[in-house]
Amino acid sequence: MKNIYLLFCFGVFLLTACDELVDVDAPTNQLGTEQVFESPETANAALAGLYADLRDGSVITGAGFYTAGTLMASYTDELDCYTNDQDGILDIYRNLQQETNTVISNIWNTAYGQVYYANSIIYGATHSTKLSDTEKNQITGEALLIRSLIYFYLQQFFGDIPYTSSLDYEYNRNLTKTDATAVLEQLETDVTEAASLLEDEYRDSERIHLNRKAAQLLLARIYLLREEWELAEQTAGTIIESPLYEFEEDINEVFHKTGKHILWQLQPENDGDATEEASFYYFSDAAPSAYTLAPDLVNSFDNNDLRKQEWIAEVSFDGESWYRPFKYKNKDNGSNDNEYSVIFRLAEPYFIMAEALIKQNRQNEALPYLNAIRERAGLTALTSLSGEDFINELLAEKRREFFTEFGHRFLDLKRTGYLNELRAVKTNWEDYMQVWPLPQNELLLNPNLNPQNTGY
Amino acid sequence: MQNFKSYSSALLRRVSQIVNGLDRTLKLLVIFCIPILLFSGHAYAQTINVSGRVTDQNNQSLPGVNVVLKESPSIGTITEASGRYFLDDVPSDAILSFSFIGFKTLEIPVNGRSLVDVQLQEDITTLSEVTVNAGYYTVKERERTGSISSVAAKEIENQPVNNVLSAVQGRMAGVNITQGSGVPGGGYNIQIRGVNSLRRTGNYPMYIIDGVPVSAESSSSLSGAILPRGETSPLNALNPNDIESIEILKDADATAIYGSRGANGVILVTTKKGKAGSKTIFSINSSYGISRIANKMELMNTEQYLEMRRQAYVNDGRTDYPANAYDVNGTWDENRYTDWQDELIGETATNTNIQLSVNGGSQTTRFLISGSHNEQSTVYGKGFKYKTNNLSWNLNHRSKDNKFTLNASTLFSDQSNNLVQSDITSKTLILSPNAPALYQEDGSLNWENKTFNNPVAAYEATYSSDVKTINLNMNISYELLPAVYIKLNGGINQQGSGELLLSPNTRYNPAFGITPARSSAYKSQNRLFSYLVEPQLNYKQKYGDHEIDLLAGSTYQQRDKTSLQIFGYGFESNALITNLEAANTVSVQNDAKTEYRYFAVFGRVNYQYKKRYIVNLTGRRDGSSRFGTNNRFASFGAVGAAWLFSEENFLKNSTWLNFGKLRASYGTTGNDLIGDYQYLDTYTLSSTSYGGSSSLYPSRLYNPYFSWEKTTKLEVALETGFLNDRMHFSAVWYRNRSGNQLVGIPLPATTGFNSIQANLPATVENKGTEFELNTTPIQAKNFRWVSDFNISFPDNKLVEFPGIEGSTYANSYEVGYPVSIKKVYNYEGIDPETGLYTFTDYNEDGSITSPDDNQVIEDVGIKYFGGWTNQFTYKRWDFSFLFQFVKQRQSNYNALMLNPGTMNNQPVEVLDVWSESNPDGRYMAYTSGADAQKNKVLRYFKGSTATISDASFIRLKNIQLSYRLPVYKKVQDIRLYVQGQNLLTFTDYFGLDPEFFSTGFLPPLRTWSFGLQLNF
Repeated sequence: MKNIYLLFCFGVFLLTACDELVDVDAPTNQLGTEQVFESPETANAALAGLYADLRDGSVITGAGFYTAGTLMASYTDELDCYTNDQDGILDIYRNLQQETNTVISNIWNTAYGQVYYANSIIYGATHSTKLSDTEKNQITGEALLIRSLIYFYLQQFFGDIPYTSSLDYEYNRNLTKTDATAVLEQLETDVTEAASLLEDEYRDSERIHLNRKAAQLLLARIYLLREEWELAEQTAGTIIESPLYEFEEDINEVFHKTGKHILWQLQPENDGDATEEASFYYFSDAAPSAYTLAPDLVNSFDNNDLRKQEWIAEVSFDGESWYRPFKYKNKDNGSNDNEYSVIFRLAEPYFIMAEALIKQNRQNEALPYLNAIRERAGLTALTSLSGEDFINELLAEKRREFFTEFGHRFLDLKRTGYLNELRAVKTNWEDYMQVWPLPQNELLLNPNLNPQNTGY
Repeated sequence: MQNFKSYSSALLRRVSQIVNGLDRTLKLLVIFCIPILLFSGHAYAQTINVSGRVTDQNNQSLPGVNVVLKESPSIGTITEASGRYFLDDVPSDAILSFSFIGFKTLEIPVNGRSLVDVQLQEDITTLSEVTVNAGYYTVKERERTGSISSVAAKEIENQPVNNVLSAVQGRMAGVNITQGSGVPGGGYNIQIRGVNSLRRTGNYPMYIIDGVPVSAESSSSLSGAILPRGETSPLNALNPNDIESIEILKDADATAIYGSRGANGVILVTTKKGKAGSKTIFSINSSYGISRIANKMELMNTEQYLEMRRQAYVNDGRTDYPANAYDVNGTWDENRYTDWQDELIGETATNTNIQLSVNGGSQTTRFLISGSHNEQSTVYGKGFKYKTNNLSWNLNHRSKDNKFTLNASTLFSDQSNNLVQSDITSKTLILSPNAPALYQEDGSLNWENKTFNNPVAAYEATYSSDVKTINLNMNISYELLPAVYIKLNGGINQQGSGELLLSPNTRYNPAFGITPARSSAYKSQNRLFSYLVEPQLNYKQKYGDHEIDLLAGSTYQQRDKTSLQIFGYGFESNALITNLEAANTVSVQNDAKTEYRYFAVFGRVNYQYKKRYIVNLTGRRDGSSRFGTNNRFASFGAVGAAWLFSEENFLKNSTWLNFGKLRASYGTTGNDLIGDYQYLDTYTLSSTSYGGSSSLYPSRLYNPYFSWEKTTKLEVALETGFLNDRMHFSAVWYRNRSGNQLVGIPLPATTGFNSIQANLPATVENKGTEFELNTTPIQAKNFRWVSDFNISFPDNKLVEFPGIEGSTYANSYEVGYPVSIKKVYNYEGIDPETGLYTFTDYNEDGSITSPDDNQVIEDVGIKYFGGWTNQFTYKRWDFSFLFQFVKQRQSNYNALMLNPGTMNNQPVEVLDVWSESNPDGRYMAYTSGADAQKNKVLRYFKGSTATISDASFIRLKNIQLSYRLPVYKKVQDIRLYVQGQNLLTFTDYFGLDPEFFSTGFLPPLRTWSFGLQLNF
C-alpha cells in the first residue's frame, strides 16, 4: 500500500509543473501580425514583399508562362507558341483553353493570393496605432493600387469575378460573383481613393514604387472601359502635362531605367539581374521551342520602322527565319546595368488620350498623339484619319508599340470590340472567348461562383 | 606518526578479532554441516570438472546457453560461441540445467561424467517464454492484452535492402508498407490499419528506436523532384542487420500509453545486444547485389509511333508538319529506334555491403560493436550513388544482485546520397522512339542541332545530401524497495543534414543561350536536436493467485530545429558551382529556428488472476506546444483484457489445444502531427527583397482554436495454439474511429490561401479483420518446414461528416464510402457517329461538367492484402521465400496518358484505335493536339471510370537460400547466402508497377544479392 501511495505522490508531483513545460519561443523567421504594423520599416517590408511578388510571379511579371505579357500575346495575335508541353500553355495559344487549364488556375490563384496580401496590408496599416497618417496613406495607397491593378486584370480575363476587401476566410470562401460593370465601378472608386492617398513625388529615385500618377493612369484605363471619354481625356492629360514626365524621343532609350517617360517600373531583385523580358524570349541558332513573334505582326511593320529594327531580333536556322521580341537587351544576370521592367510608360496615356478624343469625334486633336509615337519610330506623320479607320490605325499602332507588353493587345481589342476579328488568324477562336473559364477547382470549392462562363 | 602507530595497531587488533570471529563462524558451520554432508553423503563428498558442447537439433553450436546447477542456480556459466562450456567443481551427482531462449529447457544429471554434450530442442514458439517489447514495458507473448506484431532479426537479416521497412513488407497483418521510390534513400508509405486522418502527413506512425522517439517528418527541403514528396524515412539511418526486432503496436491497449502520438500505430525498433559467452566473437558479413527495374511497359516502336503521328495530322486535316514536329518532319532519322526505358533507367545498379562486428561479455556485462559500410548505385548510371556508414555499440550491465541494470546504446549513421535532381522515369515512357542519340561521338551531349531536349541533360542537374544522425539511448533501472523499481529512460537524437541542389547552365538546350551567369545552386542545412527524459516507477508483486504490475512515469521531450537555405547564382565557371562564395548573387532563402515541446504523464495497471484473467489499464495525459494555449492538454487511455481459456480446467488437459486466449481492448489515442506554430497569426520573413528592403508575407490564415484529433480503437481477438504449438492461429477484429479531424480544410483561392488548419466534425472509421496462421508442417531430425500466412481485410469508411454538402470536401468524399474514393465520369465508350469518347450526362444538360456529371464513386484502394512465408531447413541448408499479395483497384496509365498522336510515345495498347473499320477500338482516333473536341473529351476520359481498374498483384517479394559450411578450427561459423527481392510479379495492371503509385517516379527494383557471413 505504501508503494502505491508513493507512486501517487510521484504522479502528482509530475502533474503540477507541466503547463510551462510546453511553452515555446516564437519561431525566429516569423513576426506577429500586429508587430509588423508597429513600425514603418516592417510595414514597408510587408509592402516590399508584395512588390517582389508582382515582379516575380504575378500577372504583370514582365514575361513568362503565367503572365499577361506572354500568355495574352499568344492568346491573341502577337506570339506563336512552339512548346511541345501539354500543360495548358499550348492550349491558350491554340484557343483551346478549358476549365481545367492549369495555367488559368495558376493565374487565378496567385492573383487572389496577392489580393489577400494587399488586403492584409491595408487592414494592418489602417488599424495600426503606431504609424503616422502620412505613413498610413502611403502604405494603404500603394497596397490599394496594387490590389486594383490585379482586380483590373482579373475582371478583363474572367468577366464577372468575386470581389472582396475582407480578410475573413469564412466570408471569402462563399463569395459570389460581382458583375463586370459593378467591378469596374468599384475599381473606379478604389483607384480614385488610392490616387488621393498617394503623392506625386516618388518615394525613391528610380520610380520603382507607385505614385499618384500611376494611379491616375490605371484610372484613365478604367474610364476608357467605362466609356467616360472626358474623364479619360482629363486624367491622361494630367499625366502628359505633368512636369515629372517627358516624352522619350529616342527609341533605344524606351526600356532604359533612367527614362523620364517612365511612370512605374519594377526593379530586378539583385543589382545586374536580367529582366524576364530579356531572358525569356531568347533563343538563337535553332528552331524555336517556346515563343516567336507571329509573322503577321512582324509583317505589319513598315521596313523603316525603327521598332522593327531595334525591338525585334531575327533568328535564322536551317534556312528558315523566326523573330523574337528584343525590347530588352541584357539577357544575362550580372551584366544588366540599365534595364528595369517598365510597367507604365508615357506612351500609354498618349494612346488613351488619342482614343478618348476620337470617341468624342475630335480626330484632329487626337492625331498628334498618334503621330508622336509614329515619328519616334521614324515613320511619317499621318495627316487625316477618321472614325473606324482611326480606331483601326490606333489599334495597329498600339500593337506595334506595345507588343508582348502586359496583355495590351487583348485589353485593347476587347475594349474596342474587335476581339472576335481574331478569328481571321486564330482558327479555333469562338465568340465566347472574350473571357476565360473560371478554374474548375474554384467552382467545386465554392459553388456560389457558378455558373461557369458561357461557352465553357 | 604516533597516531598512525596506535591507529594501525588498533586496526590489526580488529582484523584479528574478525579473523577469530570468522574462524568461529567457520567452526560452527563445519559443525552444522558435517551431519548434512554425512547425510547427503556421497554427493558432496566429491566434485568433478564438467565440460561439454551444446548444439541444436541440427548439430549447430549454440552459444550463450545458460548452464547452471539445478540445486543452486547461482553456480553456472554460459556456452561459448562454439557451444562449449566448462564448469569446475561440480558435485558429481548434480543436475545441470540448460536453458536458452527459443529452446526447451533441458535438465541432465551429471552422473559422474566429465563430458556432458547436449542437444537442445527448439521450442517452436515457446509462447510462454517469448516476451514482446511494448515500449514502456515488456510483456510475455501469452499474457499480452494488446495487439502487437513482431518481426525478428532472423526474418530480415541479410536482405538486399537499405531500409528494414522493405524487408518487413508482407510479413505483418494489418501493416501495409509501400516504398516511395526505387531511388535509394527515399521514404515509405506505412499504413497501420488504414488511413485515419484526412491529412496525408497526419498518417505517419510514431517511430521509436531503442526507446527514443525519432521524427517521422522529413527534414529534406530540396529533394522533392527525385524523392516522392521529398520524403525520407527515419529508418534509413539504421543498418537492417543491426536490428534485433521490430514491433508494431496497433490497438488501443498497446498504443494508448503513447497517447497523443499513438493514433497511427507505433513502430518500435530494438537493436541487437551483445551475447554473453566466455569468448569474444568477431563477425564479418559481406554481400554484393545487383538491381534492375522490376517492370517495364511495352511501348510503341518507331514504325508504330510514326504511323500514329502521321495519322494524327491526317485526322487533324493537316498536310504539312509543323517546324517543331521534328520526329515526323524529316529532321530526325525515321529509322532510328531506342528503347528509352533501357537507355535511361536500364542500368544495372550495384549494392555492396560490408559489416564488421564484435560481441561478447560475461553474464553481468555484455557488449556489441558493429560497423558497416554500404554503397548502392542507381539504374540511371552516371555514377549516382547512395552510401551509408553505420557505427553502433551497445552495452548492458546487470549487477550481481540483479538490482541494478543498465542498457546504453549509440547509433551513428552517415548517409550520403548523390542523385539526379529530378526523376526522368516518366520521360522514358513518352520520349519519341526515333529521338536522336544521347551523346555525340566525342562523348558530349547531343542536342541534334538544338532540336532535341536531351533527357540526360537532366543528369547535369544534381541533388546531393549528407545526413549524419546520432541516437543515444540509456536505460537504467534499480530495485529501490523489494518489487519497486525506479527507472530512467533517456536519449538524445541529433541529426545534421546538408543538401546541395546544382543547376548548371549545361542542363539547358544551348538554343536558349544560357551561360554560367544563370547557373545556380541551392544549399540547405538542417539541424535537429531532440532529447527525451522519462523517469518511471514500476511495482511488481505476486500475492498468491494475484499478480499486479504497476507503472507510472512521465515524459519530457524537447526538439529544436534550425534550418538555413541559401541560393546563389551566376558563376564565372561551372567548376566553382559548389561553392556559393563564387556566386555573383547570394540570397538567404530560409533561416528559421523552431521549437517543439512535449510533456506527458502516463501509467499502467496490469492485474492477473491465476494466470488466466488479465486486465491491463493504460493512460496518458499529454501536452504539446503545437496547439494554442487553451488546447494544449488532452487525456488518453485504454482498457485491455484477456482470458486464457486454455488454462481452465475443462481444457487444461486437452491433447489438441494447448493454448487459447480471448482478448479485447478499447481506448483512445491522438495525433499531433500538424507541424509547429500553426496557431500563430504572423508574417514570415522572405528571402526576396524589393528596392533594397527585405520582405514579409502573411504566413497563413489564422485559427488559434484547433485542437486534438482523437482516435477511438476497439479490438477483439482470438489466439490459439494447437498440437503442441505446431500450429498457431489468431483472428483479430478491430474498429478504429478518428474524429475531430484536424485538417488543412481546402479553401477557394479567393480566401488568399488554399487551406486553413481546423478541426472537422468528420469521423473516419477503419475496421477490419486480420488472420495469422503459423504452422510447422514438418519437424524432423534434419528437416523442418515452417509456413506462415497472414491476411488482412481493411475497410475504410467516412462515417459522418455533417455539412459535407456545400463544403469544400463535397467533391472528394462521400459519407458511407472510403476516404480513398474518386468521383469520376462514367465512360460509355466511343460514339460510332463522332468517334469521340462519350460519358454519361447525369444531369442531362447536354454537356459533361463537374460536379454534376462525375457521379460515379470509384473505390480506389485495397480490399485485402497479406503474405505467405515458407522456411525450409535441411541440415546446413536454409531456404525461404515470401509471397506478397494485394487485391486492390487503382488508377491506371489511362489517367496519365498524354493525348495519343502528340509528340509522345504511347503504350502498345493505344494501337487499338477506333475507326470505322475497327469499331471496337479501345482508343479514340489520334490527334496532334489541334482538335479541340478530342482534347476536351480526352480530359473527361482522364477523369473517368476508364482510369480506374484492377491493380491486384502477387509478388515473389523475397527469396533466400543459405548454407552453413562445416566448421573447422578457429572459424566457428561460415554462412553463404543468396537473396532475391521483387523477383516475380503476377498482375494484369495497366501501368508500370501495381505496388507503386508515386506517379512519375522510379518504382522499386528487382535485386539479387550474394553474401558471406563469417563468425570467429
